[in-house]
Amino acid sequence: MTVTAVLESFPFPFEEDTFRYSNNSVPLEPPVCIEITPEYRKEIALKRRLLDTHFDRCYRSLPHTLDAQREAADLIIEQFSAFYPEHFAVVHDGQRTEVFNKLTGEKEIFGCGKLRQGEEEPLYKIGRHVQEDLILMMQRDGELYLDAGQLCFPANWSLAFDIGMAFGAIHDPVPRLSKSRLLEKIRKFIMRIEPEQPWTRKNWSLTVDRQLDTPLETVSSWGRKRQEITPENAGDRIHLRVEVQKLFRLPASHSILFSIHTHLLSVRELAGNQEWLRRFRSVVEELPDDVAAYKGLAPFRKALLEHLRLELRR
Amino acid sequence: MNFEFAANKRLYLLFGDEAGRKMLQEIEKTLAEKELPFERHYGRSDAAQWLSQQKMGSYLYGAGRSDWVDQMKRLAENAGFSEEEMQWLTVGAENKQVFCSGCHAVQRAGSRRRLACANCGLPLSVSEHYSTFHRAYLGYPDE
Repeated sequence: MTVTAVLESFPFPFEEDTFRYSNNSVPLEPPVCIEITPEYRKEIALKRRLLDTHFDRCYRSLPHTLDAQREAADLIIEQFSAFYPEHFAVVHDGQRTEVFNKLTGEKEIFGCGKLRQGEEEPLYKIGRHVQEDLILMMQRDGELYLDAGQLCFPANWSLAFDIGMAFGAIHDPVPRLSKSRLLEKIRKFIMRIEPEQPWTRKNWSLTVDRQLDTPLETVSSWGRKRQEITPENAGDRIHLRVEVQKLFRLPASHSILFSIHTHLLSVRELAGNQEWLRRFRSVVEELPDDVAAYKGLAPFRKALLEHLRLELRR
Repeated sequence: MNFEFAANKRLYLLFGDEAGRKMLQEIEKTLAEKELPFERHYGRSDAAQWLSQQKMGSYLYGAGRSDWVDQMKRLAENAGFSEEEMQWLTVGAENKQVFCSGCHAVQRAGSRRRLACANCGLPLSVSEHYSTFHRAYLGYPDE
């Protein structure tokens, strides 16, 4: 893809010259929780490699989520037909649904027989065909719980640790957000999401190199690269990492399907849009230290700003 | 270590596990002398429900073993108690369970803030991030 094409499809996250946490959700139009991009084959191959070699890190579910998982898989299959008929053929035969993935040449069967835990679970099976990470939040007792998920591309967190956790506790490590009124507002907002009105928001961080899988489990290896950044290599190595997150209410189980599509753009690619680059610099420069640390950029902020200063002067 | 008396509360809640009962005796005596309303609650079978039923203006004194206090404090927070509306005392040494972020093993850290994972050897630093599901604190890689 040309840089122009890359920039045109990139979900640039900054609306202003400064960044603070907010509930930046907007109604999702069109209401589709998945996106097939030109990176599909490459990312699916990586996802499957991770699922095959690190199952316990990338997939967790509690037994009571099976029906909600099926509902989530059904929603995604329905969207395959509605939005991507050129890539997926879906045949319904009573309880049984056959999904033919034309991109990989595979047939996947859903709904035959009893749901079993493990690799036969609907969320696991459907997740192998989409670029998104998929999280299921169950709602009960006035609270949201992360009760199932397939997570291959996390930004420095652990599904294995967070499984079964309530919404507030999940966000404990986020500076200026945990225990704040904003977090409580966001929690209430999610709990009121209705089936016909999905929402979307963008989340961002900075990462080194084009690496999608940056889980907490391996931070000692990928985190080290943050020390290697200089003003000279920042353009190629620093990437703006944007998660397009989508929230769908599943009416039968009253759960929330939370899909995360991660996009990476190097600072060099970002320089193809000078207005974006200027805004990006302003955000990086102004970011409070604790937020900068949480977003992963504290170790190289100085080198990156020096790079951006030279780049914008040209 | 002892509880401080917090004045002008609508109702005082004395909350402990078996090990914590003793530590609540003194504050109970104080409340009785001042003729203030209090309720006792020992054990934890319905703790979450009991905590969530409490009215505004209740004040919580909690005492017990370290892991019990960790869990109950979280439940109390979920039920809407703020830091200013509760006091906690721990019986015996602090002995946090730690979840290794590298290999997922759960182990006792005693009172250490830093330790090497007994399973994979990763140097860990004990965080404040707590999982009621694992009953353990997250151990971050110690850089």
